[in-house]
Amino acid sequence: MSFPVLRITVVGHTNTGKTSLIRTLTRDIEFGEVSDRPAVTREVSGITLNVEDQSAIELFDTPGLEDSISLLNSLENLQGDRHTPRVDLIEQFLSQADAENHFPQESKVVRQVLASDVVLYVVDVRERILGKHRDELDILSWCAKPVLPVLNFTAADDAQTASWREQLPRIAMHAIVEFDTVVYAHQDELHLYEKLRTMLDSHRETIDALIKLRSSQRSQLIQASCYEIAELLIDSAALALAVTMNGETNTRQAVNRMHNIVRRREQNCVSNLLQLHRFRDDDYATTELPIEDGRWGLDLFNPQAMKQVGLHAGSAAATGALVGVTLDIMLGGLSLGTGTAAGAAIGALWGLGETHGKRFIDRLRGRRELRCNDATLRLLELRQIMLLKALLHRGHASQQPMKPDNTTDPGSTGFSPILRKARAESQWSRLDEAANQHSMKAINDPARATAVEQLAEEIERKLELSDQS
Amino acid sequence: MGPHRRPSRTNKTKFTLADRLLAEAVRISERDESTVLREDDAVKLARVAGGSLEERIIHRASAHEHNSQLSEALQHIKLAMGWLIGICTGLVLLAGAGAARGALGNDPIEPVNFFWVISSLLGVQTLLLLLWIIIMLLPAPGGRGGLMGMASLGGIVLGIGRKIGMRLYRNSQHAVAVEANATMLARGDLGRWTFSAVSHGLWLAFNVGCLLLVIILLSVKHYEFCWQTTILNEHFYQPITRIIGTLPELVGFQVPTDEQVAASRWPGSPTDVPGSPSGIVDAKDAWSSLLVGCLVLYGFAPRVLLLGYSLSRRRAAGRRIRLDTSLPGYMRLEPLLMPSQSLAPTADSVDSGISTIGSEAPISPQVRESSRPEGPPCIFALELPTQSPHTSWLPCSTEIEWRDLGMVDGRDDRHRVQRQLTEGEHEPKCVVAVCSLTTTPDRGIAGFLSIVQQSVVNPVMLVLTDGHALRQRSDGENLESRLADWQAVAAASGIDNEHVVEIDLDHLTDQSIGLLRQLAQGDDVPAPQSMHKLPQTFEIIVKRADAWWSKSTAPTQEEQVQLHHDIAGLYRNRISQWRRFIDSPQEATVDLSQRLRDGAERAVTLIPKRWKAQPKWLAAGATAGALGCIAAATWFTPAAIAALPMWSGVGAAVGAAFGFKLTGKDDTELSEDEVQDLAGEISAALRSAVVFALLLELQGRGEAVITRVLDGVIDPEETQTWANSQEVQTWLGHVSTRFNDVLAREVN
Repeated sequence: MSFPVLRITVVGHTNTGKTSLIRTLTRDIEFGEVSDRPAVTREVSGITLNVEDQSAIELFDTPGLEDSISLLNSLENLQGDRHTPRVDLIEQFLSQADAENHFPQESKVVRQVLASDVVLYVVDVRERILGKHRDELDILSWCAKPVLPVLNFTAADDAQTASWREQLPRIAMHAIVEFDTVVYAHQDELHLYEKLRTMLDSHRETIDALIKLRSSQRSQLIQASCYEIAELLIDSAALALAVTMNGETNTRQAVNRMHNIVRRREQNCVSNLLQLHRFRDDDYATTELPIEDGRWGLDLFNPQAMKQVGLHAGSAAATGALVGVTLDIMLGGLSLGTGTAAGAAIGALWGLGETHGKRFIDRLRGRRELRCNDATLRLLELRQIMLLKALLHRGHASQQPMKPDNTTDPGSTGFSPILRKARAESQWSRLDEAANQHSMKAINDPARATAVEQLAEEIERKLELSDQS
Repeated sequence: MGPHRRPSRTNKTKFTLADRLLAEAVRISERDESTVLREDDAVKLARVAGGSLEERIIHRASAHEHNSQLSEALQHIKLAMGWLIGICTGLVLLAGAGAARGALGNDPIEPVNFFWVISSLLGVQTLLLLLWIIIMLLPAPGGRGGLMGMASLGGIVLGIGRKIGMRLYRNSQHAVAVEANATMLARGDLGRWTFSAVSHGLWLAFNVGCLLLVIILLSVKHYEFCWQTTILNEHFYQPITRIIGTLPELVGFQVPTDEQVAASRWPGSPTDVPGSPSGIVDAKDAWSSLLVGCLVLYGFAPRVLLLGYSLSRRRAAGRRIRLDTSLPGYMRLEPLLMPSQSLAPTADSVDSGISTIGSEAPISPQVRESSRPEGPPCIFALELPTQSPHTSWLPCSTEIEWRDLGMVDGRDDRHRVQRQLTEGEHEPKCVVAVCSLTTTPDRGIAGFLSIVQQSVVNPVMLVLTDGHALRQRSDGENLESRLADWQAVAAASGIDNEHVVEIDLDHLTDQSIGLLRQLAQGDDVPAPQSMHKLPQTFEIIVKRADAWWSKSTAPTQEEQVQLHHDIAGLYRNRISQWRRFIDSPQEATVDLSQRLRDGAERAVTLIPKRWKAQPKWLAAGATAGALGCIAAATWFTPAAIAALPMWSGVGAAVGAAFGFKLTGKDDTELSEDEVQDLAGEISAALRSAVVFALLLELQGRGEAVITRVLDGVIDPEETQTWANSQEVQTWLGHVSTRFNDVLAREVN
């Protein structure tokens, strides 16, 4: 399939988020430079947006229009004959030395606009519509290219979106899209492409292909992320460390070891999620994620961590205890005496010798098992869902730290039965390095794979649910 | 198979299953080690190779640094599987021979029951063949080997192989190789046909063993065939023989006739056999021919055909199989392997140095004489981002007699203002331009300001408002850089730096009104005078701390409010402006909790970024803001102190909104871990009081200054809690010294 390449130029006043828009559309966090200061982008620079290994769209970033009022003045002075097309006047203006001397930045922008198919005009809706905006749009209209205003920062508290929507049609800008580059909304991106499609019939195919690609990428991304979280949860739920029953220090050491294993596993999941969502390791200082330097600021086993995800002490008490580990919860209602003999026999009978049988044999030897308790698993789940939510609704340009959303409990649907099941299947965990065999079994256990898949679907549902609320 | 290999239609088939297995193995090993991806040679190679994401992934895998180890492990697993299948084939071959021998029996005298032999050699495998067909007809279950893996002989063998493999090789590469194999088998039809091929292959071996031994035994030994029955007769066996004989007969095998069948009924005792009663001697030739025919046509032939079919389908499935690029391990490679290319601008741009604000030589203020008499100060608002339709934007219209030039939004307004400035009958005493800190200054603004500057004789002042709004958007650093940008714009337009002041018009205090008034007079801005009340304040704080420690009780909310009230008392003459400073601009707001929350929020936007990172100092800031509101109100309307209990109830709500507790004592819902010790409680109360005192002392200065001073005075990581009032006193001593130092530096 081959498409005609669509050339889009992004223009706007200085510091309205043009580079941010391109970063978000291309998912390329390395493009250009973003800062809350004027005239950060000094040159026109472009980037391709690929569909199936070929560039479908070329996006061009431009320096901000800073002095549109004077530029329009100069342009209007050129106007002689009423019937001369204004594009010709613009070209005439650009050929003059005046353009380079007085409006170097603006003339670069105008040149790029003349060479493109469509113009995205980015505005910061935290400002009122002012004379400069009208004049900028006026200049763009001289270039005779279709212009689509993109309202940025619509999610800000002081956004005046309604007033922009009311004012723009008055100056003949009827197609408008909202696209917040800081708080990303997938629907808005699709909406932007749809608007472009109605404006550019000759590029319909290109844009269709892009919309299709973005939609499928989005659902794949969500699936893959949920899968990562599900793996983490199954690994942690199934993890069991055997400890000898005599000796307080032994137990404490084992608890520490367990904490470390789970911590490392969580960190692994966080890094994977960040990579999936294309965040650089050195990018955290400027992100609005609830994490710092690629890791959760609060340790998993810190009681405050529960609060961070909106779990209250009350509900933590209901789920068992505070975060940490629990000792030997899997007894199946059998006491030690009957358990060992009967358990081994039953285990052998049912072909479970490797799991339940081993557990009872361990008990016979005077050993017990440590596992993550419910609260820990729930915290692991909620933290990761929270991170994923933040990642999904975040543009690639945001620069401020995020306030954790304390009000919503994304996992209000409760503790998953799949995790309860995983508890009983210690061979599902890939975490116990001491018993390497175990992790090899985990890898090749089809029942584990099914459980991970089901759990991932469940997490996806929870995510959708928390999105709706 | 081989000869049927179709020429590849697209270049997508250029990779083999082995290449994909390697890619899968690389993915799994990277997942387990959670490798951080980087742009290494393998990635570059894949980029150069181009193609779809999958192709690039495979290219990368084949150049991956662990490539050789993983390929080796994959090779090992493949070899082990080959060996296993070979050994199993041999065993099954023997088993087939054994089965044949067992079926034909070892007794030379006893006749062989033909139908018993046939059903024991063919019965089970035919049933399993039917089962296989049924499974294959069922829809393939969700992308994995499914039933076939568990139910078929092939599945069982491969399962055993996996277990043996795991015992044999215990290092991670082999584990990865095994998993790679498993995930590939679970994708598409590959698993089904692999299991099928192994199953049919093994049954084929069984049949070969069976057939060989039957032929050998029939060649070297004498057998008599018969049939036996207890309840049936020859009328049952004759049609059965005809039916099973149809196919063998077509191929050329001999089949017993009805008479021969009838005659072959077991005579009753082995001794009768040699002298066959009916005398049909050649019946055993027909029976043995039929036996071999059945084994060939019902056992051997279908397995040969199905083996061939399964292998070819497996091959096709192997060619069709694609990596699941939606897996996390592959998805994260996409940005690396398929980067978007950067482009040069389409339009040929003339490379000229772009002039930015401040890069031009600043316009030096010209000293001019004016023929006009001096008139009132002029004021206009330049591109204010918000405009309330109800209230006038004009600040202090009662205190200062402005000549209001209105809002300047566009070209027409600019021309109008320029005209008004130059053509009025009075020369303005000064011109005040009000701009918003939330606006990004640009060359357009700089140009206009320099026009304004050139049209009047007296100085132009730049008042920057909305500092609070900008702070709410981001942290303090942003404000600093924005201020610097505005100063650059002012300098470029010829406005002196002393004439650029930050005054939040929404939070005007007496001091800032005074400042504005001085600006309107055209005077230089004087440095705000310190109240020098800190020592007294700190004395009050230490005294209160002493009382708490000697009583050994944690401070109650009421006592905390009282402390703030006392501190505010020292600044009584400025309390109304403190109220304006901290309170919301609409003083008519009756919602107390909302007002407290606003106060807390305002104080929080003022404290430095470093503080906000420390929950204790964040709490101190918010508490100072909220309690400061109460304290101001109690001085403003002394009756308010009577309503304290209600105020404190609201205080808890404020704390909750910021995610911390305002005080601990009255809060019964605290869990154990949250209950702090006494020193912690007292220290929290003291921190808030100190912040409040510092804010009171600093009020009237620019907000950026306040933040900077606070940042310089208290290091949030240095002090957390104090154990007694002596420690507090020492610490407060340090704070005072540092405060004076920092302030002295600010003034210079």
